[in-house]
Amino acid sequence: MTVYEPIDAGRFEPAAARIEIDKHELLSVQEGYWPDIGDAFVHVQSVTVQLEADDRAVMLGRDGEQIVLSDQVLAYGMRPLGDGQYEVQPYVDLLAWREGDDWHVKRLMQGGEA
Amino acid sequence: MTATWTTPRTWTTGEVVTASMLNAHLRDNLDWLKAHADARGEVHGLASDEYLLSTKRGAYRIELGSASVSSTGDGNYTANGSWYSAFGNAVWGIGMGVNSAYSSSDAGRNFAYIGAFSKTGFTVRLADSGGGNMSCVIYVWGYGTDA
Repeated sequence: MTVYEPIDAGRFEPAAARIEIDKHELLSVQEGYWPDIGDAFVHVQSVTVQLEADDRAVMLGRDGEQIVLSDQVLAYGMRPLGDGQYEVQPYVDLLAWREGDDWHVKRLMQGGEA
Repeated sequence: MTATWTTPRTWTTGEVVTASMLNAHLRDNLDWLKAHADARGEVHGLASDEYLLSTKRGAYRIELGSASVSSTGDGNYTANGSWYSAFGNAVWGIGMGVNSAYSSSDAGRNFAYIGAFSKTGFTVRLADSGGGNMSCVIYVWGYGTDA
């Protein structure tokens, strides 16, 4: 089963990328943008990928803005180092992850989407 | 809910106003405004776990997120959570707490920490060196600009 995690992004102006995972674990990304650190946002290209049994995380790469599949959650966004220090990670965000048999997919909700 | 907002027209003297213009600039825009006001639920427009730090949206806010994690003995475990609202131009994971519901009495020496966070969510990690099983909910405070 796929569980979509709605995130209110009504004030994020660029058209958000849309991610779906169907019952055959076919991941499809509809082209759009995704919020990054600071005022930045990144472009996400349309792509369709077959998920494998050992895939547990769908990451958005900072280098090349690519969709990356992984068997674990890779460091993304910012990582706290302590003493108020933070480190920018090589991946922009975690877009989807597997919990048990379910995939959880982030979905940015804009412009009054229900 | 109306999907799009139309920038209200600046009317000119003597202009003939059509039904479609009124529908787009008055009816649909009013629908859009009402729908957003209703969806927000409260005057301040915040969800149950969002807290505004000033009287103006667009300022900083804090939000409480949570993720459930279970361990089955020694090892490192990961759980992910999503913010209710995407943060704006900054986001910081500023603190966390653990609500434990032990499934085994010999779970001990566990250490939970924030592994990563972004504008849309966060990852927490639980390091279990106590040998037992446990499950818990880890709460994370996010802090950042609202828009």
